[in-house]
Amino acid sequence: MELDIPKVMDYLRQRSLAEGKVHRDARDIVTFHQSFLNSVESNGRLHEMGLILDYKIHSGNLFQDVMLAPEMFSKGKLHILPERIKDRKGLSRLFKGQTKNKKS
Amino acid sequence: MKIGFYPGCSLTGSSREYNESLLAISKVAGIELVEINDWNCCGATAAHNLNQELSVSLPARNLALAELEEMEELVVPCAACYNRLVMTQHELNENADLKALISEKLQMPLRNNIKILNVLQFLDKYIVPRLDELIKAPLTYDVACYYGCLLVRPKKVMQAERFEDPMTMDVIMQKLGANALDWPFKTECCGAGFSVSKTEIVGELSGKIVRNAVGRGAKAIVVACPMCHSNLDMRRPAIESYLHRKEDIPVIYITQAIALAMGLSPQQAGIQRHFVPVNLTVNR
Repeated sequence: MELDIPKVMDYLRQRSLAEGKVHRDARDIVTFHQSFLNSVESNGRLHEMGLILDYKIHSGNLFQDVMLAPEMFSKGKLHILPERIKDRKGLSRLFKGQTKNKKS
Repeated sequence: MKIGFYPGCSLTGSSREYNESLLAISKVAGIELVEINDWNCCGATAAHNLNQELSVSLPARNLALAELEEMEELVVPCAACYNRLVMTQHELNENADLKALISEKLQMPLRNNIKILNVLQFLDKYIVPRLDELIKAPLTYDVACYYGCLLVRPKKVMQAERFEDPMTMDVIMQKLGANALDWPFKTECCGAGFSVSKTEIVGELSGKIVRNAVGRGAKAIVVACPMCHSNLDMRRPAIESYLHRKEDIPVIYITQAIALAMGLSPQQAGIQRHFVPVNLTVNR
């Protein structure tokens, strides 16, 4: 029998989240992923500026990468406004009843 | 010729030079990449870490939309998006109940048989056969081709012939005139999605990749993944902090290398958007 190791890891991660057991060293990782999905739920597409702001607020790492955003912006890599998909109802259906901290 | 296209979120923002160079070389080759109308984020690592259903339903919506537009092939240049779309297609084909559930949620039919191509498969099929006629300015560098994790793993699903020592990018670079070096870090992990949440891990993992490429005399690292590019290029300060020295080796997308070899300008290839300056005028 072959063991699907990444699947086992995904399961264990989702199970530990569902039970509220997150190692303190992994809290920022979980916060980042939650901020990522918040952005996708709001817009349908990732808004990188929004992701960074949401992550900073929820992780408390307010001063991390403060010099990076202006440089990304000057290189045309950051958009101030999000790109939103048109089918908001269809998107809402996918997120309805889904949590970002436990296995559905 | 028209082919379906799923750019993914990075290519509209932090990796827009990847998008620009891919579209530029496709245009030169007479290929029109047609974006899926109203595509959405694939969910990336976040969805498959936090919510199993979203990790499948988000990519599946894009597959269903592409089917509605009767696309037979779909080019997915972002390695992370490619991995999520292929894994979703695989999971839905293995699990009929899940497929029915997702199709119901999408309120769209899902045949789930579209051919998904990563950038290397696309180049191999549509650009490489025409390279001899399209190359105007052959490259003359030693390069290290870096594939990362997501183009080749998991091997059962990706069906990569040489998942530990892939050669597709090496062969393309050789055809462009460059010398693709043999090196052992082709499929090591760069730190991937830890760029923001665990930057020091990216500094260490990407630092080892950069150190090896430089040690073998590479003048550039060539990539085919936005996350790998951003970690090796934008996160260079974290890499240098780990290595305790400055490293100025540039990191270019395979599509940018092709664009330059086709004689397109550095601006058309999006070279000016990099954090580590790209000086490709130095010959071997």
